[in-house]
Amino acid sequence: MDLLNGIANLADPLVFLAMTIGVVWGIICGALPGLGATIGIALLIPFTYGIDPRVALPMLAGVYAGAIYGGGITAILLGVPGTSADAATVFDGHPMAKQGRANKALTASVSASAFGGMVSALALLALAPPLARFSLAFGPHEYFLVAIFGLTVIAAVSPTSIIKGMIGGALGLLVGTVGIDPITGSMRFTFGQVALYDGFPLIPLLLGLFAFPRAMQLIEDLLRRGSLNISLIRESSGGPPMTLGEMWASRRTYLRSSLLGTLIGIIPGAGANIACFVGYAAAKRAAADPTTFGRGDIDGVVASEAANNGTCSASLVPLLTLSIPGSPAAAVILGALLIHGMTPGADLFTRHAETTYTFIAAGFFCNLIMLAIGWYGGRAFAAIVRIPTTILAPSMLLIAFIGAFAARQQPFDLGVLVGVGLVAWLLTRIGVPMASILLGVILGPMAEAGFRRAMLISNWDLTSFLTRPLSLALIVLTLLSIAAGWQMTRRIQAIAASQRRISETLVEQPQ
Amino acid sequence: MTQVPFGKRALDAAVLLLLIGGGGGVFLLSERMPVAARTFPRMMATAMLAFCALALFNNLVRGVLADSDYSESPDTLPPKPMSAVLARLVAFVLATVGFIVLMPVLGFEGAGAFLILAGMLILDVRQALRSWWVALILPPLLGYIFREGLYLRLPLPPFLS
Repeated sequence: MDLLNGIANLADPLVFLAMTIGVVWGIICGALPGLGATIGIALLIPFTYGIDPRVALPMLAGVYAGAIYGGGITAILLGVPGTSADAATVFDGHPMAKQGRANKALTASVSASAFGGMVSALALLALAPPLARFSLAFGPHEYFLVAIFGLTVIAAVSPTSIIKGMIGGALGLLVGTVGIDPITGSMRFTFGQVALYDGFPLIPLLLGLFAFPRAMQLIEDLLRRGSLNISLIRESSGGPPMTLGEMWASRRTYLRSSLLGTLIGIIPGAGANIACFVGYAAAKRAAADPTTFGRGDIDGVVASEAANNGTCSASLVPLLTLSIPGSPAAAVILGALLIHGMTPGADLFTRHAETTYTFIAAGFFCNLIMLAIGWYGGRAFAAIVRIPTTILAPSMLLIAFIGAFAARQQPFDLGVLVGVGLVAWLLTRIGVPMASILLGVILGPMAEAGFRRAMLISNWDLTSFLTRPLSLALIVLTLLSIAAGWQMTRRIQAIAASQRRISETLVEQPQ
Repeated sequence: MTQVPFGKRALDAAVLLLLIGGGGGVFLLSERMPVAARTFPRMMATAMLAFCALALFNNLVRGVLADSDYSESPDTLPPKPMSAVLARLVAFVLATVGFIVLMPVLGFEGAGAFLILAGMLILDVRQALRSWWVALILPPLLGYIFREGLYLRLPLPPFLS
């Protein structure tokens, strides 16, 4: 019943409008190199403060889907992927545009993105409610272990260096201890600031971790290298769109890549940027003539785009059920859920069931809106890349400042944004992933409270973790998933790296 | 893990040393807390210290460090040295601080116009002269949307408050 009500909510013109705005904003952020889904969602959060979550969350679902797809437009028309999730789209999409088949590539991209996104949303709908019900059986021991599971997985799949990922995680956990101690009530690292009694404010922290360093990087890039001189290629102006017959011929690629993307999305830490390469590699392996890949094969575009959008809703499975954000974008969505008073877990599917199902259903229907917008207006978004960094960076920071101020209306939070942003900029430069810090901040209080409550009820008996069946099962699962996840990530990254190398060679060759 | 130039290694080492200093500071600052309250932060500080020491070892002894998250543009021009742009980066950060200081005085619109205009002037004077109108239009537009549409109490300009 809640599911039907959730779907019915989407028929509200206001919700439909919100989803459309979300998709358009997402495509813009995706198309702008350097922004992407995480920044797009973070910058839109302030716009959702005063709005009913049944309107706000579908808008964020639209941004997520639109941003992953949007990067593909510039990848095809300009040869510059807007996000790393669209890197594999360049390999065949850009050669197609050069051959005068830009419209075919663009329509293949949007249809594959929409299909992948819808498969992913169905997976979220099927998996999240039972997993969330399962979490009802959790006690403090289990919550501690779930938090540890989230942290270890993210550290293991840290894209730059595992040690730097661990440093980020530990720093995040430390930042998460700021405020009133949840058990004894004593102050920790508040320095007498009332504004810190509840800990570091999440939204300014989040914007400081993601938006501020990104703005600084854009500026540094501009100052050190000058503005990127990219222009639309002349041959990309026409050509017919993808036909239904071509879609039917590529049906296996649509399905295979969507399922692969969904599977990769469910694994915390493995994201769209890995999925696009894995989808591309799988399509190439399955092709009758793999030599056409990298030279304008429509299946290459379909494979990459279906896989990257396949991760969108799927990455919310661990978030909505166990509070483990599977990607930086999911971590930002967690922030949005929290400011709307929605805590992940069983609560989402009981107390907030209708809103949650509206959000999940929006993850499906946003793809249809995206399909319509992308099919008829995809080319228009390529012009977005012409917005100069000189205007973009300060404007982006202005919106981030509103976001930081909006939550509590305190100027102190603006200082938090700049302070955290400066530290984050330095840490980004040495390869500490911001996602690991954010996860530490989010999961830290859950881990600490779980551990201390577990110790209180078991009279500081550490063996209680081994005597509770569910707890023991979680330990075993954690160890297994660390080992398996580590191996799998290495393998996936190796595939991605080899595909990247091969395709870079192909793209460099004159068409 | 890649071999990297001295400048990057120096920055990496400096930031790691700062983190080590911060980790040590946690022990000092938590001295007066009850044992139950300080145990978890100290555990995390210890973990951070250990990982920072490992990263520092990799940097100083092995001469390798992690690839930066920072991805540079794929154009072919050789980048200017960091020292050449540092002053303008610092100026931009100061402009953001200026926004925070000015917002209670000039209101959101005034401070926002200052941030965008100052930011554009710092980054590219010619572009700023072409696009100065963005600084005049965007902050009032955002202010209107957030105040009227989303009921956010952004500070008003002095003549309107």
